[in-house]
Amino acid sequence: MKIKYIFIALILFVLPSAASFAQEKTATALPDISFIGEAGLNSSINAAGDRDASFSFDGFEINAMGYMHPDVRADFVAGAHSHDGSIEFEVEEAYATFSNLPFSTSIKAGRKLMDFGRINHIHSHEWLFLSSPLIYADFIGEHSLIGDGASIDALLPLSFFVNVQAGIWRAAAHEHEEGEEHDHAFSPSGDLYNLRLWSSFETGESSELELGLSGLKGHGLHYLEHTDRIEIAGTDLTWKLWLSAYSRLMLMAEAMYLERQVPSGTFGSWGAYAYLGYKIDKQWEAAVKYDWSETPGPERSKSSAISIIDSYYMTESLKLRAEYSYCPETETHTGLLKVIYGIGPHTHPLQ
Amino acid sequence: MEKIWMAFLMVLVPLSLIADQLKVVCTTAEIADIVKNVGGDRVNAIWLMDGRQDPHSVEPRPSMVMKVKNADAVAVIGMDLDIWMDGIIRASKNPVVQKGAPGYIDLSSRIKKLEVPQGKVDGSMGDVHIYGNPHYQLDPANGVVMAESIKEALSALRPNDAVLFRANCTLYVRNLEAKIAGWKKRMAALKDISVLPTHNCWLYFVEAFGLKSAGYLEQKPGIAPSPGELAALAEKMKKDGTGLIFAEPFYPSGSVDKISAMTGAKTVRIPSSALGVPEADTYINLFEYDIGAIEKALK
Repeated sequence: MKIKYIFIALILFVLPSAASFAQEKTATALPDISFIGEAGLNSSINAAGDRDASFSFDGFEINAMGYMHPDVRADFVAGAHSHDGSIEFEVEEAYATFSNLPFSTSIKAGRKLMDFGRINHIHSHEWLFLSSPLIYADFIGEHSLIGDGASIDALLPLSFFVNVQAGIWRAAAHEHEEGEEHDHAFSPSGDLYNLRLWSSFETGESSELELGLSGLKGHGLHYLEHTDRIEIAGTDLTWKLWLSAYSRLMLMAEAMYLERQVPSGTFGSWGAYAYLGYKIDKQWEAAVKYDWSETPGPERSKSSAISIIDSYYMTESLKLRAEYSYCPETETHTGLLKVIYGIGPHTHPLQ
Repeated sequence: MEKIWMAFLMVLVPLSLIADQLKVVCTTAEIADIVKNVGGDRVNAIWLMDGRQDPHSVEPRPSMVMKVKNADAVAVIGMDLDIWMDGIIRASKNPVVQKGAPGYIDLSSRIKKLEVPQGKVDGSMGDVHIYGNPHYQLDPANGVVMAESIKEALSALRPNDAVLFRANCTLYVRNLEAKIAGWKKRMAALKDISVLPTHNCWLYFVEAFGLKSAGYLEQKPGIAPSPGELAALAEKMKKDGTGLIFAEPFYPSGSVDKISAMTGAKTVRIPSSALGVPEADTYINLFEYDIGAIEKALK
């Protein structure tokens, strides 16, 4: 509820103030503020002929960023997301970055998207696809993994790019109501330790290969009730070839192995996805994605999906994306059409 | 034995010079060219993008981070044109090149800026840069201002070489000013010809050489024209007698070809940044190539 009031305060006081200052061309100490929204159409049909089609408002984010010291920056991301038909408010990220520390290190402290895997640290509206890769949905959960804690990252003193990041986090556990049955959704929870190594090599004047290794150790969602320990190891590869000013070929692949220890035993699950995208020109991008994953835990099931994705970038802050997916196990066809829009200052982060 | 010592020295002296060179990472090829001219052999300048790329759409790469990590200075166009450099600089964790540090050289700081918006700016106006039109390098007189800024920044970083930087800068500016006089003379013959640039990046060029402009193909910066806008523009071009369209080599041909077909105006593909074509390999050769291509198109 408090978060709702923070939102209202932001909208009522901070933003109009920022706008009026901007109009008066007065020097300000206000942070950079931007909004990002997402809405669209979802439709699906399965083998039994069950159809579902709906318009969805998927939510929006408010981002604020500013420096408190030449070497200390604050980032704040609050989101309102549609969840089972209702809008939920949450602070997705609120952290400070302490830069320019000895040995090319920096420290981030607060709440943030954990630097795990190739895409967990990237906000989903900046992904190259609409639906979460199955390994992320099965191993990480319905939403990206967010933790409260701190991380340190270092750029290693080598002739090529190697960035190492290690963090200690706490993620919310699932608390059972009396009489509630365990659901099968899974997500790492409690005290979590993560490590990510991200390296990159130039493979030509216009191409670059990125390799990543990720590790996560901690608990599963139900660790408060019973033993639920997990370890996840992942590896990823991204190869980009820039063909002209606007066209680019991109191959991205990621695999993960999760080992989960619960009272009924220790279970290992694999999952992977591969994405091949071609940015045709300044505005159009076409891609295919193949997903395969095993759900973690005793009731293991396998699922896969093939997706075709088409994106149209109207401007830097407005894009339309269509995605068609087919899941052979359930014989389900899914269609998504989204508009992703933003206002306010935009950035070009390295990610 | 003497020969061995001589050979040893011949290798050692150039190596020591290289080791002592200031490493400057520039966002564009023309900045790197001016840095090389001012810095001489005391500077090793590299660039991250050239004229084959759209400066608005550069994708930051990890390899760029390594170049900035090992740099003594970075030189940027500024005014948010090379905003993609901000993330690279932050990721490099190199304290000497962060914004505000002596190794961060923003070449826009002393430029007389055009099209600085007043009041509120938003997407309804297209891709408007809030600090003004950032394509100032296309007025060669701004090359003089850029060279002076580079001289001062390098001198602050290496006071012992300040005399050399001053001498190199004077020589370069003298050469550039002589070229400018020649280019203006050549372009004076084209003063009555109306041109249509694709994007407002050509504003500084049009102003510098006193050309007549029928506006821009993009009615709002960064936004492709609608069929209605194209039709209205074609009418205006016919009325003004616009005979030439300026387009960068990477600019999508769709609307350029359409307006050319509607009006009969010739299209000349000219780079707005060095190395957009191999012949435009320096800042001076960028203007040599562009002006030569315009003259050729009008023959």
